[in-house]
Amino acid sequence: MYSGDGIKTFIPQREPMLMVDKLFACDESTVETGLKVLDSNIFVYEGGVVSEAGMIEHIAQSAACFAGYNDWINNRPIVLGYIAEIKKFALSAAAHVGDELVSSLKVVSQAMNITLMDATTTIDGKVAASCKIKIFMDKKK
Amino acid sequence: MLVKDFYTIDGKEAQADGAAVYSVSLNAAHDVYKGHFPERPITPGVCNIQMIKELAEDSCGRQLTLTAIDRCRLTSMVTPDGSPKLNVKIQWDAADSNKLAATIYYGDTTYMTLSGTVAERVV
Repeated sequence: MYSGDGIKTFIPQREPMLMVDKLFACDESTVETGLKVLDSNIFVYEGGVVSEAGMIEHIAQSAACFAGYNDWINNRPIVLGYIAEIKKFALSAAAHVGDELVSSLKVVSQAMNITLMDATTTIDGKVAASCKIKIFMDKKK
Repeated sequence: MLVKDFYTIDGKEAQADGAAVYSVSLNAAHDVYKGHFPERPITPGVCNIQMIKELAEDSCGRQLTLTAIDRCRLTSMVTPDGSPKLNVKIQWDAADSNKLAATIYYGDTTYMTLSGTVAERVV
């Protein structure tokens, strides 16, 4: 439903750190995002494989899209969010330049400024990475 | 280094318990800070995870993929201006050479703790 520069409405990250380029769907408890991996991506190794850091950043920014979209639709300002904790991260398949990452995240719990989400990233329907990610939203800014 | 010139290694010390402790300096002029975030440079947590993985490779002389993270806690915010120098401790599991624990700290402040599993990287 949103792509390219449209994503910048919801998250504060900018080039060269932008790791989401599509927001397919979002509601009060789930979000679905995408990223086409370009060879200019700073998280890609020589040889065209996306690094572990790149996969996690894509998931983290997907969580930021979830928070940002829900703030935007409720007329609240978009705030900076930070990773507080990652648990049970598993990398099961390598992503390459040209691949389309599709991530699906679901809220596990929400309290104050902390949101815990379950995340799965797929490539062509096959699971490439998964984790539980806790995001802290800096709402005082 | 994946994100080129993101940090430099200033030193490496072996501890009595077998751990390796690296001293690193962050490069505040790096392009990542243009996007993370405009007008407020904050070191991306994933760049610190990547740094741990690269120093783990250095400490064991193997090319690695971080295939699993049991737990990674980001306990203090790292900024290139406020915390330009960091120590990174890499401790390999005595029983399983593919398991490691890492801590990023400086002085009394702990910035990140990570426990994870690696595999040989082929590319």
